[in-house]
Amino acid sequence: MTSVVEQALTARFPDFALSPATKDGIATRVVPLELWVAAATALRDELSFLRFIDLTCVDRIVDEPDRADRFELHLLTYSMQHKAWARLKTRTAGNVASLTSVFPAAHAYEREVWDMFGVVADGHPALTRILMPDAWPTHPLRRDEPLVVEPVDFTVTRALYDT
Amino acid sequence: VADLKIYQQHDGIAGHLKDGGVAFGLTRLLDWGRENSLWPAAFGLACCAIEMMATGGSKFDISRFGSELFRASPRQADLMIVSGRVSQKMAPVLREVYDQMPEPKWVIAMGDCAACGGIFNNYAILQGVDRIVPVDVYVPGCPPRPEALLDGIIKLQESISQNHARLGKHGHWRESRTDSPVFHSELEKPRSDR
Repeated sequence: MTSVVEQALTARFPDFALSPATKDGIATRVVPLELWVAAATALRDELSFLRFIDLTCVDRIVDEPDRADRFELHLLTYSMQHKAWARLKTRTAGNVASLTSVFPAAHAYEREVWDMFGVVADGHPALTRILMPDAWPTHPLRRDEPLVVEPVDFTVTRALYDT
Repeated sequence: VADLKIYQQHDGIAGHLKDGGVAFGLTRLLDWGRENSLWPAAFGLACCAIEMMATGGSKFDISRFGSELFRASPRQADLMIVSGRVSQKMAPVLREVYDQMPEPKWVIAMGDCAACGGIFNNYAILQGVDRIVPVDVYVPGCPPRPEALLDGIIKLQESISQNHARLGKHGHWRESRTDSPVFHSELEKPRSDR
């Protein structure tokens, strides 16, 4: 059964790929990187998904090591009018246009995404560290960062890590 | 001299005064006072702090050892009980609190997290509070029971009374393992480069 939101999304974004069905059942579209802000704007203005819920990132380098655009950004919104959720995804190699002009609440989320993954939000008014200390040298949630700070010498752990 | 005789009536002082002069005896007297009135700064960071609060409660009663006064201000405290995991962002705050405590001062690393990072072997947590402040007593446990913390405090008192505390012969303070916070080591390189 196709929901009203699915129909509206398909009508508005006919060219965008449908994401594989999500377990949470939220209507999801995969957006080209250059249309990231435009799609969010359309979602807000035309489909009345006014409420910014979450912006987060997944590092896909382990799943798909060959792709240069390793980071998958997730934008989750909610519509009070439809009482429904909608999600946009896009892929980037490290830069993305900032959503702060569309959703001011994305300010802190884009800082977090940059802090943890190093994905730069172009046009963000103050892109600084939010969780780690200001002088921190790395982006710790990237999958190629070491998992532990101090070595663990148990063989079981090694075996797990080396595979 | 009259004062000294009064001091000598106390068993703990008399033994030290036998072979020492007045200055030696006064040092011992000071240590005796410090030892029995440690004022902890409340630095509860995680679940260990719950055990620390239990230690302050009536059942375990830390005041039996002269330490019932948990100070909210580091300027009135001489013992910092670091109870819980220290995040990288909390580390400079902890060091600042430590620096604000008047000397002489002591540190107890309570629990595995404060001692070595515990189970949190990751980027967010300082791998042992001894990377930023000198630690006198490590109390293991996850979290340690109040008895363990009391044992740690007694150990610290013994250390103070034996003048193994950090006030050296010439008033030099023992330095911490590193002068400044060390966040990254060779071991933190990506796994492929190790």
